[in-house]
This record gives sequence, structure tokens and C-alpha cells, in this order.
Amino acid sequence: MPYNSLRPVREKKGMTIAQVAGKTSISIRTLQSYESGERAISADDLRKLSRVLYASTTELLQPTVPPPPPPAPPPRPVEPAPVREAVPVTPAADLADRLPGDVRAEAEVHRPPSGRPSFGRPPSPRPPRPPREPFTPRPPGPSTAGQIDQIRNLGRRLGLDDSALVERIGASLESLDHTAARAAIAVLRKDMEESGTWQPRVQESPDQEAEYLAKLRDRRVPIDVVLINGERFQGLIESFTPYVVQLRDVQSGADVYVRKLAIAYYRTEGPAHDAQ
Amino acid sequence: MTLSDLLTYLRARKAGVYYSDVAGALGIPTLRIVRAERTHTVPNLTPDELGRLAEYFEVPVEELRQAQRQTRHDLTTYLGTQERAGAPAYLRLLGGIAVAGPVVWRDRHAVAVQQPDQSVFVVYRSSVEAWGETKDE
Repeated sequence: MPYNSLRPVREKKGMTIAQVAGKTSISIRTLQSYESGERAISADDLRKLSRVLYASTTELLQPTVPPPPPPAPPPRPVEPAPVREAVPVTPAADLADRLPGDVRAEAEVHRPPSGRPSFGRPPSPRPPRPPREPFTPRPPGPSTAGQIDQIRNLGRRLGLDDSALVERIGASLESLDHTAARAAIAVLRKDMEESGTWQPRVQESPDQEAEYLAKLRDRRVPIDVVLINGERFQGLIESFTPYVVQLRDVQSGADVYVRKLAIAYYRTEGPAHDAQ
Repeated sequence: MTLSDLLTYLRARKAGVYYSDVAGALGIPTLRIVRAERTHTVPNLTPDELGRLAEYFEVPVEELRQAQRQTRHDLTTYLGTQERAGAPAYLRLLGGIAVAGPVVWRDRHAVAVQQPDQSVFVVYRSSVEAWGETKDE
């Protein structure tokens, strides 16, 4: 891309990019891209620059040689590789003695008092970390009202009055903290389980009936349906949904749609081993 | 009968109205009606809501309060216990019909009980009035 004369003209006028930017309202980044040739100067900006730099537009757009690349930074002096403390441990002084002459001189220069060469900024001194305090568990909080109610209910179901309950727990209800109340509940539940008073929760299966109805339908087992109002329907199951059963009368062939909500019970008319 | 099952029965008796019909008529959120029928514990209906339900279904409010004393979980536990033990379950249905026999299967809505003649009696929970009684009682 051809380079314009913006930079030489600006430098000739003794202005910085920031000064030009302030007078022309063109951003510094845009001016830099104009000077480097990354972008072509827009007509509007060209007029502004021409006015500020007291140069004609032709002069500003005159192609020039690209600016010389910035000088490369001087090569960094080669520093000796850090001497690691390896096994077997070798004193740093001995390592320095083994290096070639020039490098040994560098090593002597950079040798810290500890004997290891240092690189970069010296580490800032850190204050020693204070020793950790030994972990001490927090004391349990007071028992909740719900816990006390639960203990009383469990005791009631076990047939324990207040005095028997205190004797079983080993403490009065008022003196129990949270942990002790939880332990007391566990003890009473265990007592109930052993005495058969407490039953574990029994789950309800979501839908066993659909499987059963499908078997009755597939095996053509007739059923007798009784609704809550006493009406009866007999027939074979043709189809069903979670809410409705379609029955077909064996003799007449008429279909009846029965809503499950209205069913009190139904039964197979004969043995239904296969359908179970 | 539990309150959950009683509400299902009353809905069925009132021409099978939907939850939303009941909720709309009484000004109770539909979800509260749904939960009242499905909860395993005692439905948390307020006395005012119980009163409105009783009026809507045209039953004495005392009948609803009475049903509140048992939870849906009680019947489930009874059936599950009998099923595990292989013992017969005794159910008394609305209308005075008694059913007894081993539990074949059970789910949220119904329980199947085997009869001496090997037929299967499927009872909907909403028609179970009482349970755990022997035939002699």
C-alpha cells in the first residue's frame, strides 16, 4: 500500500499525533493508521489535516518511502542456566568452578548470598503465616419446637407418658439440645420399629392398572363393571386410556365408553390367572 | 374413607366434574383441589374451604371433617403391609359390599384382590369406605 506524506509533514511542523488529533477531532488510532498506510485518508479528514498542518492535500497524499522499521532491541546477555539443587547436592561454589571462564564470571556476579543464582525481581518478603488454630466443633444449638413435638408424638404412639419418656430418653425435654433431641428421636423410632408400631413408608405404584387392562384386552377376558351409581356393564375391553375404558358387549356388539372416575369396581367374570 | 378419596368420589357422583369446575365454582385454586385429592397426608384445606366443598357437593361438612382423620397413606400402608405379608386384605365398599383376598396389584387409583373362585376384583380407592375389618365384623 502506498504511504502518504502525513507523517513527514506532521514532523516537519513539529506536531505530535496527539496534538493533531486534538485539533482535527480525528482519533489517534485513525491518525496512526493513516500514517502507517493501513487506511486511506478520507476526504473529510484530508480537509481537516490540510487545514491544521497548513499543507495542501496534494502534498499530504504524495507517496513516500515506508518508514524504517523500529530498531531491534539489543540482544539480551546470555545468562547461565539456573543451577538446580539436585541429588546429589552439590555446593553452588563447586558448580561455579566447573563452568567455563566467562560464564563463571557471570555466575560469580549473579550469585546470591544463598549460593543460588537469582532471576527476575527478587521475591517480596512475606510475613510468616500464623499457625492455624486447632479445629473446635461448635457447640450444638438448642432443640427446635418441631423436635420436641416429634418426641412427644413418638412417645404418645409408644404409650409413654411424660415421666416414662424422660426416663427412656435419660433427660428432660427442656434440657435437650439439638443433637441430643435428634438422638432421642432416633432412639424412639428404633423402639417403634422393634415394637411393630412404626411402619416404613409404603410407596404407591403409579399405574399398574394399565398393564392389567392390556392383558385382559389381549386375552379377551370379559369383565363386569359396576359404577358408583349402581349401573352395570359387561363386555370385552376394546381399548382404554388413563381416563376411559371402551367396552364392547359380546352379544349386541354395542360399544360403551366408561369413565374410570365413575367406576366403583370391576371383576373378571371367571378365573383370570392368565391376566394376573 | 379418606378425604382425598372422598373428594374423588364426590366429584364422580356430581356427574364427574373436573378439578377446574370445582375450583371455579368455589373460588379455590385448581391446584389446591388437585393436591387435596392426591396428597398422601391430610389435605391442608382450611375450614372455610371444607365448608364450601361440603356445600358444593351437598354433603354435611362433618362428613368431610370425619374423613380428614385418615390419610391416603393409611390405606396405602395397610394394602402394602398385607401384600408383603401375603395376607388377605379386607375392604368394605360404599353400598355395603365387602371384598377380601390377597392383593394382586395396587396403584394410586385401584387395588386388585383375588377371590376364592380365582376371579379378580378390582376396587377403585374412591369406593373404599373402610378397611382392615374381617368379614365377621
